[in-house]
Amino acid sequence: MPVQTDAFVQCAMELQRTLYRVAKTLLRSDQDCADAVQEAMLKGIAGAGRLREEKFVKTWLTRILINTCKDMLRKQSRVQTVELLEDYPAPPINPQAALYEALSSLDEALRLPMVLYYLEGFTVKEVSDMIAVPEGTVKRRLWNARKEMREILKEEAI
Amino acid sequence: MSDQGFKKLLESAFPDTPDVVIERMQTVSQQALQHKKAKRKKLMSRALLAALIALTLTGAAASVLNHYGVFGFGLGMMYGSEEYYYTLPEVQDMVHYELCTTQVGTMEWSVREAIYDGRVLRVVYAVRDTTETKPFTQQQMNSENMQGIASDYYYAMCQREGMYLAADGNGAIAINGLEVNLESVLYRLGEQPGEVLFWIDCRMEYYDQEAQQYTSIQPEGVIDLFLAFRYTKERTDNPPDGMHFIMNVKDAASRYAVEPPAPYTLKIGGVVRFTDLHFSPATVYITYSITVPKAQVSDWDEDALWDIHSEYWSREGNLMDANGKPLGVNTTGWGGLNIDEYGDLCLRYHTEYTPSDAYTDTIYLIMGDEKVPIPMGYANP
Repeated sequence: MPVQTDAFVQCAMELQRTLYRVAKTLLRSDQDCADAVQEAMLKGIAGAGRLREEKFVKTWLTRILINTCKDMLRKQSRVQTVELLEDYPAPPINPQAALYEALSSLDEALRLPMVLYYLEGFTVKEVSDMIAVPEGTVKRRLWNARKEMREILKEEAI
Repeated sequence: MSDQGFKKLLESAFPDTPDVVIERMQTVSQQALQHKKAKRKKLMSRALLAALIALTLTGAAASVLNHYGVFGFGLGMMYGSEEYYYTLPEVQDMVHYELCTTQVGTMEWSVREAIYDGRVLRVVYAVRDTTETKPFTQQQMNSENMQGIASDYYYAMCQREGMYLAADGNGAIAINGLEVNLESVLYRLGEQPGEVLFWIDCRMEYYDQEAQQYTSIQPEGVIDLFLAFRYTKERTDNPPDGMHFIMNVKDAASRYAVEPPAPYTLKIGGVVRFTDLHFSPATVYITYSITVPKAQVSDWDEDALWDIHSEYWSREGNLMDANGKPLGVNTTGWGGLNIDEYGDLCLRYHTEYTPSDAYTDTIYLIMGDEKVPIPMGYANP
């Protein structure tokens, strides 16, 4: 039976924290994260009827969100970089921000699977489906991400 | 560091979810649930009817759309902009008007508009309470719950008269005798007293019992359509068995079809195969797949896949003419990817666009940095 709108919305609202963190992994500005999450929700609601079970909502909606963030990044990269720099000139001043900066300094190809797997608890298979790379590649990236993260933290003395 | 410790470290890298994100999610949710409210009322009414006639009803898919007309009704509210239901002027010649009217007691049923563009059938029909003398108020027409009001009004009519449309329950229309599934059933208040308008959207698929799968049909020429009535009360007035109408759709299924070109090999590897290309004056339909052989899957880096995969979600569309001009607005689409039994990566997509006034001899489907040519050939509309 297809997933009904209210069930989809309820699942999506429970994923608030996950959706924000996934968006924040790819986009720096909270405003952009809000735009991406909203867009992903709209796309998700429009297509919820094609989902057969509620258990797939988390993976599916996260995948839509990732696509949406990627779209936004591509558009931003075409349009402007000056504004982005002006928006984010301040150096990190607290431990949380320092950690976020450390995370952000990782290549996107490493940081996204790392957040999806270690933080959000998706399986390697789910991460593989979501970012469309083979499972072996996901595993390799997870290993590299963790290694690089450890080195950055050591360098930055965080 | 353990996995758990690493998770805690990552958790502490992210700030609390900002209010702006929470507010946006709440806004979208509320809007969606308001539309859903209307749908739920409709299903409850169906349940009541089911109890009356001891028939199990399965809900037809409904969406949350608005506007009048066989096009605007369907796509307007979903996208909120007319650019999403733009059609070429010649589409007017394809629309059939006032196809049939029939009366059962106090209920008048009429098929107002229908169009079949070779891939999708859309029908607008009206149901009217002939005893009603006053039109709906502007407050009712403009209400956020307008669909709920329309649904309640319609089912109250049905209960009074002891009848309903079979499609309400089984979500199907008979086309040339085949029970073809309805994709969407939408409704709204009409402008006439006691009138509720319905919009149905049918992608011409039926369940083939023998093959145990859904099969598409692309009829041509004169087609026979039938929306059956179901009666829940004994009647002595020899009522009609449904709304029966015919349409001459001529060669719509083939006239706008473009011959799929030979498979195209992407520079990065992977083969693009178009399985359906249809450029009707109403909608452009493109169905294709990309197969990446097992041995090449690891060569596809993430960016390459994302470039292609994300195009599918892009509302701006990824269709371009030979001069680099974007063609049409991407109105809907679906797709997916999987690893097949041979270990090959298969991506499958279906996308739809608004039509363009003119096409160059070759147009292109943009996939990341690559342009996949589609020779328009003789079928250039």
